[in-house]
Amino acid sequence: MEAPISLEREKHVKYFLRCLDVLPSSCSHLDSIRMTILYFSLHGLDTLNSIERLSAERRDEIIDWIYAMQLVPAAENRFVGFRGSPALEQDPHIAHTYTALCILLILGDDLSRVRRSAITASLATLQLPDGSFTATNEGSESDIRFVFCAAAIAYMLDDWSGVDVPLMNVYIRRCLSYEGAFANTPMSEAHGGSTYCAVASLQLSGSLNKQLDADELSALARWCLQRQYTGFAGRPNKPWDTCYSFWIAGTLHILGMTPLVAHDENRQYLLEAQDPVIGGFSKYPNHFPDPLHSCMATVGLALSGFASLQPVCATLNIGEKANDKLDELRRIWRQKDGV
Amino acid sequence: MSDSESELSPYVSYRERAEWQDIVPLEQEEGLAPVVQIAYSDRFRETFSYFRAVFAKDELSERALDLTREAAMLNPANYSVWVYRRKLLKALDRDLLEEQNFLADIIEMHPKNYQVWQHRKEIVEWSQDPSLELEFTANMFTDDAKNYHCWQHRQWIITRFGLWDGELEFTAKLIEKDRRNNSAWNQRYFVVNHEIEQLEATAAGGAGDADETQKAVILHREIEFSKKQIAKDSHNESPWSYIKGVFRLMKQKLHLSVTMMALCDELMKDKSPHVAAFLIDAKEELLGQQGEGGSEQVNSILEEVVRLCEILADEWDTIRKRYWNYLAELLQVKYQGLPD
Repeated sequence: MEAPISLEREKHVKYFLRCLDVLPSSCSHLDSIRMTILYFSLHGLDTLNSIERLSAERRDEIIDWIYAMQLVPAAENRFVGFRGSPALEQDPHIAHTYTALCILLILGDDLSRVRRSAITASLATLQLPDGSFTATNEGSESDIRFVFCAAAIAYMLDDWSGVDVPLMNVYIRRCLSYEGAFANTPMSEAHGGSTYCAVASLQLSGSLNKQLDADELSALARWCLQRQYTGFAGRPNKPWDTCYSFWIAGTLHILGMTPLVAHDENRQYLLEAQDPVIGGFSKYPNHFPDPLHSCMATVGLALSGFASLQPVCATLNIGEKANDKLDELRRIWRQKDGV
Repeated sequence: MSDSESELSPYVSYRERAEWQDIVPLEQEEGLAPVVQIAYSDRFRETFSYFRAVFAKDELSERALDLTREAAMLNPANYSVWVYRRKLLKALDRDLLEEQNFLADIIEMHPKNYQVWQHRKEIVEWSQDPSLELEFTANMFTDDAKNYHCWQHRQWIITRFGLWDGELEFTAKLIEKDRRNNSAWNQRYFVVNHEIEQLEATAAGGAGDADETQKAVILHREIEFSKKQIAKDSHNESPWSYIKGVFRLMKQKLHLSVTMMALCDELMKDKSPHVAAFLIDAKEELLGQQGEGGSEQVNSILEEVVRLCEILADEWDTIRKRYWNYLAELLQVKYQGLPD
């Protein structure tokens, strides 16, 4: 192996801080998903143990902005949650609700302004008869990504009453492909991102070992491990892409298979994909960085045991500290509810 | 500027357009502090300010429709624009063929955007006319034969409108073009799965025997197909996972397939990890049948499996050496009753 490349820690911190503030006009296509871009930036920063680079005032500004995105629609039987950006005035979105909750935890917020029971009850308005979830009440596709978002929200807010879990599990199983891993929709191709969503969902609802037998878990682990060359790819015969160092390696982490990953090679690939000038990571070496890959690559390094990075809770994709905060809140809520 | 911004006609500010004088643009509510703020171009900012104004009035007009086109071109990921556009198309009773043409252009510019594909799906569902879709998706595959959205759309069209005819041949064509196209192999499984479902549906009526014979014919056909592709390159993962999947679908055992076992023996010289893994799986089936607890037969098969794991770990698939060593140990514990 070549001489190890070092992590350009400070460059990445600065990259994430820049994303938090202003993005150039070439990023206009990200206008509807600013909440999730915010999540990538803050989760990346947190994994680098650098959240304290934000002043308390800046943290509050961000937290206020997030809460300004929370929306309780006037009409009945509508999803209550967080919007992706001020550009979308009418509709909260399931993915940006998940990322909003993650960010609030990362920033140390106590979720006291979150409309908890309204959100969890209204998840039911997004679940379809086949068990899948849409992202909004109108005009949205349904697939396993939003199943994960629903499971994560229900778990984080500690209330599954708005989710028909058995029906959700039926859909998840239908997404299990002949390859032994999960697709985005039934009969589609097995895919790293979909596989993470399915496995994390099952884990979060406590269904993993009930829905998948030993042979299936074994085949799943093998499929995930077979995505590694140095870095990971998302499908057979596709190029390696840094984000799969989270989607695939994260799945393996949930399955308890992390010791079987070739960590040195994975780390080496990730480090090669850094941009040494402006910071951030791209999907492959010598490409341009973007917030998603910068976040996932940083988290991928943390999962691979890179020193000085904050350990990650793979099922929710938040840092250990944020997860501890969540556990504390769940304890408090249960005490209050007399559970 | 997004890719499609440059495709729009030269910009004339809405403020300067006579037909828009009556509308007061609604600025976006940003709040006091910038958080992931985007430095929008003037065109982007203004277009969406007018969009917000028109949307707030729920205006259902031609100019609103044109506005949604411009807004969609600037940010195709803004799903509110698409929802509103569909409302407008219905209210104005617009020609859906024209919409399909517009969609063809925008999908080509943004082939991995969820909203444009969803819009196309909704338009087809509304028109009940799938006649363009197979050709459209086939054309998209010439640029990127693995586009996930495109395959999903094609599968939906075929399932929704029963357009199964010729799809098996289509997958063969794509696999012939690129045998490493895992999406094409997945599509082939999609078709074969449907064939089996059809057989089982008719068999339920009492033609049980015919069903099994027909299944055997299909299995044989797929073994021959996969074998041909494997022979060209045994290091290609796709045909291996495909044929294993088909065996499972047919509830057939790998180790009982003379063809496959002979193929594997022949191909060991290629040092392909997939050959070795197939043999491991086949032999594990055997072990599963013999039962646990250390008979001579079991020990002999187990020895072969462990040997294959060692070859993979030490020579043919070293990146996964920890896995193959782990698997060998796991199987030894399971079938030899060795202490954990």
